[in-house]
Amino acid sequence: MIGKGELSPVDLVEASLARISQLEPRLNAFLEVWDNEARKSAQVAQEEIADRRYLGPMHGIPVGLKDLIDVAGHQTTGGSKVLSGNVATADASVVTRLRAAGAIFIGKLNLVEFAFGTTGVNSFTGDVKNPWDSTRITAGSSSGSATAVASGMVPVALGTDTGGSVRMPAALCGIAGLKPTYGRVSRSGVLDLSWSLDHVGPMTRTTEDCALMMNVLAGYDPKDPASSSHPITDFTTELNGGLTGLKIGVPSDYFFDEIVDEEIKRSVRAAIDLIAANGAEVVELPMPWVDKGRAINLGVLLPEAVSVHAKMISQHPDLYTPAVRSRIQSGFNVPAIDYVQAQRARQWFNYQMAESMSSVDVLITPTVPIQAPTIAECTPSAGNLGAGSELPMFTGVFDVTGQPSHSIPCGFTKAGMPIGMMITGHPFDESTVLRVGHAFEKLTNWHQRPPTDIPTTN
Amino acid sequence: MSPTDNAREFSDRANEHHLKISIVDAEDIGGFGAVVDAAYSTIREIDTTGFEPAAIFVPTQSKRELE
Repeated sequence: MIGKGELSPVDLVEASLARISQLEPRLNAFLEVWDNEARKSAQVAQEEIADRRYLGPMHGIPVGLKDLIDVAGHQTTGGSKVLSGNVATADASVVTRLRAAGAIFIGKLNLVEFAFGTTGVNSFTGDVKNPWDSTRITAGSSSGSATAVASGMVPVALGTDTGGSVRMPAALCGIAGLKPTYGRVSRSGVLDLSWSLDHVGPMTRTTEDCALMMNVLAGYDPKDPASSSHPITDFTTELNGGLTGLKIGVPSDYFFDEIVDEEIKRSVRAAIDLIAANGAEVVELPMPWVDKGRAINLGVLLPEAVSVHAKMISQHPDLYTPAVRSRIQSGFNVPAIDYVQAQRARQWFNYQMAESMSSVDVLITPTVPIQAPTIAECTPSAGNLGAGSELPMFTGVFDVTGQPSHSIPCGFTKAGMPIGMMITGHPFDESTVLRVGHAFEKLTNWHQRPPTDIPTTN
Repeated sequence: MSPTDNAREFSDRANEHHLKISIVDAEDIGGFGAVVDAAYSTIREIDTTGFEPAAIFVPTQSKRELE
């Protein structure tokens, strides 16, 4: 609509800022809002488009950025007191790409401190509220990104995912979130949590929007040592390919075990049935080894996080929140051999996954095993970790393997909270993952429902 | 070693590796330390013979090669 002149970037940015003013006091999704800058950028975009210099689908679109991502001249805090006043001198590569595509940055989004946590709780910046029920968690760590998109404050946002931090909040807030293949999207200029597991990914209302963002975000970047030169295709090309001819794997182990909430299992099974009824072949896949994935995720993550934070946490332990300080410090005496063994186990795990998936195009599973607990239940206290530790059981598996993995809404609980379904593909095959997600969204309207605990948009 | 086993020993050993942690903080790790112990216990049980990661080291290219 913007490209055709039917919608003005100025109006879109004003609508976004108005929605933020209306909801931010209640939801706490943003750490900074750059209203003046956004208005100026919108004016420039409007003039460019009027002058027939349309840059593509991201031109004039308001974008929210998780506050791990550098924007020159603005502080990157990681949601921590430790980095208060840490002003970036250059844009992260993903920001450079979005800026070149004409995107308009609205501000920095709240998160779990240094992205080290899964519930979304942050005692320094304040907890982000779920727009479906403000007493419940959003999940994290990209808590602000999920809430901002779900509530209509911004149409799209960026998150990061080390154990599930794009997909878990996407699931609990009823939006789409894609963790691309490891190396597909540059991490340069993004604060590390665990460099061999960190991914940057889009969080949007629909799968199609994830594909449009991937067309801008993906590509080789020499500034990121893990960046891949794997060829990039147009991620929207296969979106309308439908389900016929695809083979869907459904793990018979772990992802549907007793621990998984019955309502979640029922919704995901119903979604799989719908996908089968519309042309895909569905097969059960035994994966008796897959329960090791969560341990490997933590076993790799923790020593890398200690390495990232060693200097800062030794100098300023008091500036960290108690919960995140404890998580990092718990890795202080992990022997080197345990980290090396975790990386070896990861190689073993990737081999098992590749073998299992050789006969299917994608896997479909629940995104998380439990319904959203309340914020009060998840707030850690002395000697008590708080609820929600099961959240990354499924998502963390695919950070270990680096596969593309996408969460979309597939139903609601009796309490009215969104349920997420996770579609996971072969490395560098985001296109098939997005094709399945888009096909499912065309068959259902789960992704179109507005959150119930906030006023509707005008 | 789990921080819950002996907070002072945990703190002393971390300090030897230039990682400063107070005894109070070591005591507070509590439940998460148990999660960490369980994770590595699971990892140690996996037979990883023949699964050495091949790509843990990637040579750094010079600017000339990049351009």
